Amino acid sequence: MQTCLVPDITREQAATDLDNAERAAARVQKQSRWLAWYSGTFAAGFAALTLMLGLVEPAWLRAVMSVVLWLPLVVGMVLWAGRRPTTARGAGRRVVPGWVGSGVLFTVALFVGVPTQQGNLAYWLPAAAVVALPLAVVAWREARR
Amino acid sequence: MTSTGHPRHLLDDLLTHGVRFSIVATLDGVDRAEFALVRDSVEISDSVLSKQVATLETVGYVDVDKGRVGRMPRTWLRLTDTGRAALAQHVAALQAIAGRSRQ
Repeated sequence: MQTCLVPDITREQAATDLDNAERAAARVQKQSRWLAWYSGTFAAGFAALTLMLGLVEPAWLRAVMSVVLWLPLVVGMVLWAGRRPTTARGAGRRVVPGWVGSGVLFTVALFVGVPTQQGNLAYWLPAAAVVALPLAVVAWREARR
Repeated sequence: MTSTGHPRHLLDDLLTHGVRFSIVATLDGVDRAEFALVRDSVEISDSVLSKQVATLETVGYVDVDKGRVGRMPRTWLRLTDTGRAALAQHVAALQAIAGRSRQ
């Protein structure tokens, strides 16, 4: 730390320096909020995929539609995320629980629903909402940052 | 260094340069940021940012990573723990001088 030989600084200059730095930092912070869109889009994607796997008949159409939905979504979002100019501090740590939560709930929803609830809207609609919830919470929190 | 006396003694002399202070401040809230984003946010030229980042890198306040996104070369800037500590102390000193409460 270098703390000697600093020039005198007035109250006004200190305030100006703080304001300028705050403005510049706010511009960068604004660009780091993309994670809210990213998480929200995947929350919606998980919900749509859950509904599709539970409701669409016949099985071949279900498989085709799932691939058509999920593959471009994942590829598109990964490419988009890779091009973002910045990432909020600690973003990975905050997002992982959402991914794990939605992933686990998705697996459980399919494990329980596919054998016994195929085509049952009363099961798959709430299941889709529950599956999307962890990532939706992450999206909401990131948007509020 | 002393904890008593005028808070200017706690200022970091590298960060008393307004541009350097703004560069470091922009990196504080993010894991890393692209060179071009920092340049535009601080409203300076490529050459000025390059020069100031080199200075900050020399003292260990900023890390510079070079890579590619697709075929486009990119430079990423990241604030180190040393830089973050220096910034926190500098901001506290500026706030004390400006008569602002710590946020």
